[in-house]
Amino acid sequence: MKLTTNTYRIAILSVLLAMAGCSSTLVVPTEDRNNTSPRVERTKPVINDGAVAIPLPEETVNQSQQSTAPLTTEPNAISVPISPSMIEPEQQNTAVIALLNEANNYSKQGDLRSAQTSLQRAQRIAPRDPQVYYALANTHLTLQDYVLAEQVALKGVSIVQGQPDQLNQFWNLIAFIRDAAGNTSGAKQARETASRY
Amino acid sequence: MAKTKKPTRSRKAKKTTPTFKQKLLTLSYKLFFAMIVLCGIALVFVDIHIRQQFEGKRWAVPAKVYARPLELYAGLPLSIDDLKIELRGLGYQFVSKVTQPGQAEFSSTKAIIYSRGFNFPDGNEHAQQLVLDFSNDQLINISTYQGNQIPLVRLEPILIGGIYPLNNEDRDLIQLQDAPQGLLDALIAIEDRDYYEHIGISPKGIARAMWINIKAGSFVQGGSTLTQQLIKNFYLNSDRNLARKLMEIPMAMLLELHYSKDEILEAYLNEIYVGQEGARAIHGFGLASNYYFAQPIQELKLHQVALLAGLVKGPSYYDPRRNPERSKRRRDLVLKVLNEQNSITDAQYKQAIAMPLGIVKRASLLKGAYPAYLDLVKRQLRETYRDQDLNSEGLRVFTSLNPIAQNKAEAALVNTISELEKRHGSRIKDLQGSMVVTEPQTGEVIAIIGGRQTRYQGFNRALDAVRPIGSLVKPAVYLTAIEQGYTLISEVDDSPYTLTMQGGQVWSPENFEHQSHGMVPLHQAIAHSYNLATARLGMDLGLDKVINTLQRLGVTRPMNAFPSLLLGAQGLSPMEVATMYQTIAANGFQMPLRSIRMVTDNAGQELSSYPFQLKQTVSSNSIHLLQYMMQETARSGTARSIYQYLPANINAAGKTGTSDQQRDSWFAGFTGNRLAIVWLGQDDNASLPLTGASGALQAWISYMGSETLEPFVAASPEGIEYLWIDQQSGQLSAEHCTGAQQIPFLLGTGPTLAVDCVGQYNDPVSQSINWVKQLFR
Repeated sequence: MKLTTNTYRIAILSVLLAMAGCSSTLVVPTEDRNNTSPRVERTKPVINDGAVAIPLPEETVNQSQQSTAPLTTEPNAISVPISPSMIEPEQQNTAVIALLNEANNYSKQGDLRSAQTSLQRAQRIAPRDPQVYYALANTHLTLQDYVLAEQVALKGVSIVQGQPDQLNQFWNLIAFIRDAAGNTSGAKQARETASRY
Repeated sequence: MAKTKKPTRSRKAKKTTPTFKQKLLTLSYKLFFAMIVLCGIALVFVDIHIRQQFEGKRWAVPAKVYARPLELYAGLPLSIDDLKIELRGLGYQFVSKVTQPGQAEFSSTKAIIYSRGFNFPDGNEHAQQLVLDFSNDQLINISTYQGNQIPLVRLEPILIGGIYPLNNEDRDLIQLQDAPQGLLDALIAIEDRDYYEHIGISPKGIARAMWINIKAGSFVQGGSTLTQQLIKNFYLNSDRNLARKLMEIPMAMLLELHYSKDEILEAYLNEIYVGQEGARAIHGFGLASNYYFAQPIQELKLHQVALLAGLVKGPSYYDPRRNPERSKRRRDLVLKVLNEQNSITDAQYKQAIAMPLGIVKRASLLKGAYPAYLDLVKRQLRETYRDQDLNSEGLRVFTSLNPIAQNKAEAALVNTISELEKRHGSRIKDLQGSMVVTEPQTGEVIAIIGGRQTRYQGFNRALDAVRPIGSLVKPAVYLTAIEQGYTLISEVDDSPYTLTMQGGQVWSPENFEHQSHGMVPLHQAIAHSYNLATARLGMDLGLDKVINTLQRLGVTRPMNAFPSLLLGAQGLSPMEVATMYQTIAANGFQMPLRSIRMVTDNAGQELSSYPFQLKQTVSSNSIHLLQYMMQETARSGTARSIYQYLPANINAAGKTGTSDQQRDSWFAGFTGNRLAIVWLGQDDNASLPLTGASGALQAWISYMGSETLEPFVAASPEGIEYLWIDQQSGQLSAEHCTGAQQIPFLLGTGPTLAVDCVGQYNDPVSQSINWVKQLFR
């Protein structure tokens, strides 16, 4: 006899109901191998470095992914990593804000080396904070070290993927750096990229 | 003739006794006068010498090498146990109530520490009481004892080593005001009671010492003044002879003539020899305090300073580590003399003699504890500084070594090696290992292990063991493929492959399990580390292109364009592998791995800094696709055992490596805040019953499991799109179709045809499972 879809639904629901009764005593951690959404648990504290949080649409997180229990790994399972298309900026922590202010004050006084020292200290605390790279690129620009200024700004770009405002700022900075370095065509290209955001 | 006789007579006349006496007397006067002049000249020279040495740079002060200071701020991932590792390295005392710098008290979620303060090149941190609140292995709040919030504070950095001159003298210079009064009182009481009265030598002191020695029936006290002892240590060699003893006297008097008692005493405190650790000679009380008690001298208590004062007479004979009882008797004698002279009260005396010696075990002192890291620092320093500057100018070198990470890495590597030896018995003998750990975003090296004897200053495998890297090379091959237009689902051929080279040599690589898999998608070929697919792919791409990719990833070593390069015949050191994987972890930005942050002179003035430098050598898009494949390796490929132990959210990316005939077991991988390279193997190149996954990966997992990890998060660059792909056909699918996997593509390179998902939905089982899934959304 050919079983219908409804028959399966009833059978599966019955099994689930039966399992629900046992769930208070036995929880088997499993991973939904068909769902390849980002596997990020929110149970661990995350450093406030501006970029660790992953914007994970709630509807794509199933129960098993939120489990903190170790995963079982089946040899033939489909199990893939996921990289989110966008990273939400996290709130800056007060330590980084203090160091950015300190660096800003040094820069105003023309003490760019000290500003860089403060910014590198901030970078170690929050290596994915875009503001740190923005300010650092600016110090290199002022010191006319255009090559490094551009590279630091590009690093900033790689950090702020998915954040249009930030991307706009970084590409404009890159355009400015390239102009200062005499690379007009590169600057134009950067400005065009900036205008897309 | 007559002329010649006269003088003869005259000579005869001079031979008479009175004339001879007169001559002798005259000669004696002359000689005496000449001696006076000569002595005078000699004294002037000695005087100049003494003054030059005393006033000029008196000591060759070795460069001091510091670990990174621990930055404390709310939000820092740090457990109380981690903090304890740091504070032990700094020699903090764990007490029930904090009262002075260098102490800490703990409860289950709180720590109160009294920091010592430190003069950093970019500002001073003052000593203060800090209240630290913890929750879930995270520092959540810092405040002062009065309750004021503190955004950021640095603890003093742990001193991890020095760079010593040829005579191996090591010292930490102190000023007189740094020395506790008790130490000065004890020294003067036991060594030179009339110090502030005499003129450099003390006949009274000699007489008293003789009397005391006769009374005691043994040599208890010497007759040399502190000034004489300083002269002896400072200017003269250690030979005990009369001439030297005689030189001591005028020199001591000259020194006293020119300098104040306090100046001489300060020099004494820094010069005197107080111990020996292997080849390293411990000089001065500043270092002695650290060497014996792991505390700065200002913090020493009466019983401790008495021990140090007592040591001067015979640092080896009274060595508190080797001869604790003898050392205690000597210490108690010093305390007794202090008490007899009323420098301390009876109560203080009784309390002090009741105290244990309180000497730290050598192991708890971190100076010299990290030879492999120090080795790297020295090599980097020698690119800029002369040896002479490094071992005499008192330079301060600030490094990025993270003692907490280093401790955890050491524990992980050493324990894994022991376990593997236990498991495999005689099949593994003398297994060695090394490790390099970096912070992937900044390129700072935070830990290095040169061998399983982590404190042994021998062969530094992390830097010098150049071993075939096996499959660790594969990311370079697959990255080249991506750059040449392959997508992650491009099919590659994993069927048997034979290449006949010029000269008739035949190269026939095999898969590890001696099976071939036919046509496989690119991402699976690397995730499962298929050799046949990689060899064919690499040869199609061209060896020169793969070598170029390796160079852009940071490999500078010359490489031979042999086909076997594609499967990792090329030898690299773990440090070179770290440089290569660092570029992958840092989204295609190549950065020199840095171990030094800054070098300053002894006054804290910056001499050189090592700024953050980077250069993008691989496009963000290409590196993103590679990172995906390396994350898949960790999820379901050869490194899948990672998720049996580590949290599912870390999104680790990595690659296993096993060299030809299983001589080397490698793993290279990273999370959001740690990149670690592990190598296991034997120094004699013997085969191992280990693969990269069953050997090195296990140490990697053990290390990462002990760290507070942050997930690896790679934001998708704008040139990348994620598509749902049907695994069977490689065509477009949809999220809810069975067998669909989300895979990244360069924009416009994904498949255009879609499979009929409906057919799969017709399968009643999967359709029903999907229906149930919807219920729970």
